[in-house]
Amino acid sequence: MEIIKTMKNNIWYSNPIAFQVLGVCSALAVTVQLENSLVMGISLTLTVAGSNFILSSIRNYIPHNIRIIVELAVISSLVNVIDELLLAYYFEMSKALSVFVGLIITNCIVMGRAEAFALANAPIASFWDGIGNGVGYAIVLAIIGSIREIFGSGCILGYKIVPEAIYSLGYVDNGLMLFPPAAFILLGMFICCLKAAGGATGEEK
Amino acid sequence: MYSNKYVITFTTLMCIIISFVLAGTSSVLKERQLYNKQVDIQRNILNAAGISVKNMTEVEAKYNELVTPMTISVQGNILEQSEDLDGHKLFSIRDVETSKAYAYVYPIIGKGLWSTLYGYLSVTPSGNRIIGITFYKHGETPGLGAEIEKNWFRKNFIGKELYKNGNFKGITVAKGKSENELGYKNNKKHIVDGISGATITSKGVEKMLASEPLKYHKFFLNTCNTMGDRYGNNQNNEK
Repeated sequence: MEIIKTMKNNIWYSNPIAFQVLGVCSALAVTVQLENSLVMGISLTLTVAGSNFILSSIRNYIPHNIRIIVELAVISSLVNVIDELLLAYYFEMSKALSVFVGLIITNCIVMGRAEAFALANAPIASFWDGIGNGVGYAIVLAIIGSIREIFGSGCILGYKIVPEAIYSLGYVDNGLMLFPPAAFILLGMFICCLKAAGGATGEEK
Repeated sequence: MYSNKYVITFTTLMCIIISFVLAGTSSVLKERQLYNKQVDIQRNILNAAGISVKNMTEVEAKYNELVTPMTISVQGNILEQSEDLDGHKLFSIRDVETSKAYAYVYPIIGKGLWSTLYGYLSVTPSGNRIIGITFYKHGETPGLGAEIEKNWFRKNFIGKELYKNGNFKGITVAKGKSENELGYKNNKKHIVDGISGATITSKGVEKMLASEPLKYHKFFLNTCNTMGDRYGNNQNNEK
């Protein structure tokens, strides 16, 4: 039950993007297509969960004055491992995400959760906090990624879904959707809707 | 507070553990990554020649079927030993029906703003008209210099010509739209749209296309003579 509660809090009430407004830059950059967004979401979830778990397990041994360095060392090694795995097993995706996988290191969610949660809580709880935050991030990315892919290129996961008949009636793909500003606008509208629906308030219920 | 001794021991231990983890993953995955890179290069060669392929197995199959790698000397002769260091790499692409080479692909290397650009250029058998260009490795700014690997920029080059009236001319990469460049009317075939905001990368591509094709000049001169096609002069023959 604890787990479900943490997940719900992290995804709905204090979603990392919508409420904590962390990790927005990568959300703008990789959401051109749904597939990129999903891989990025999964990579980030693994990183946050892993770093939260590791840091939480050694939290009583980390010298307080160098804790940021220790956090960064752990996070960047995890990201490196994920980068290597992508290069070996998902080469095209690794090319499409290019520098952004490496930039997970600087993604504020990872550092933020390590500082705010992992250093003060037990490993298992921290692990689930990481999963919850990662999934919360991934869901937002997936929603924005699919909107951008549908309206920007008429596809979903690379398959054409907007029928040719509509194109022949004069419909055109929206070029703006392919650029980062579109993600910014969509993200704003998304947060607005979420707040209207009672989410992203930050209150734990 | 922790003592200095504790802090130093802790960091040393941490570094040792992390380096083992990283070195371990890197060496375990190395073989697969190299294989991926190899296939990616093959895909780039095929793409440069205008052949589109979907997945990795298809890349390998098509590559083995259509592509013949060779090495040519500075004098333009085909070398038997591909290990010759002075030679230049060249790939001939076979047409499925006539089984004659309809395109040659060669690597092009040049300097961008931040990094070295690596790519492939594909030309017609006379070495004049460009069939396609790809870039497979670079470290340019995403959204600016990195646009060189995007389709719109690469499509620019298709049909452009490296020679004008039998002399090497190269390709000018304009600042922004090519129509606005000086002398556009007389050089339509030798000018492409550049990337606004990435002038240095664009100029890098231009320099690369001014020097790299010259390495193959003699080879194409030889093949053209045997084919009876006057070099770059007779553009209608190539349609």
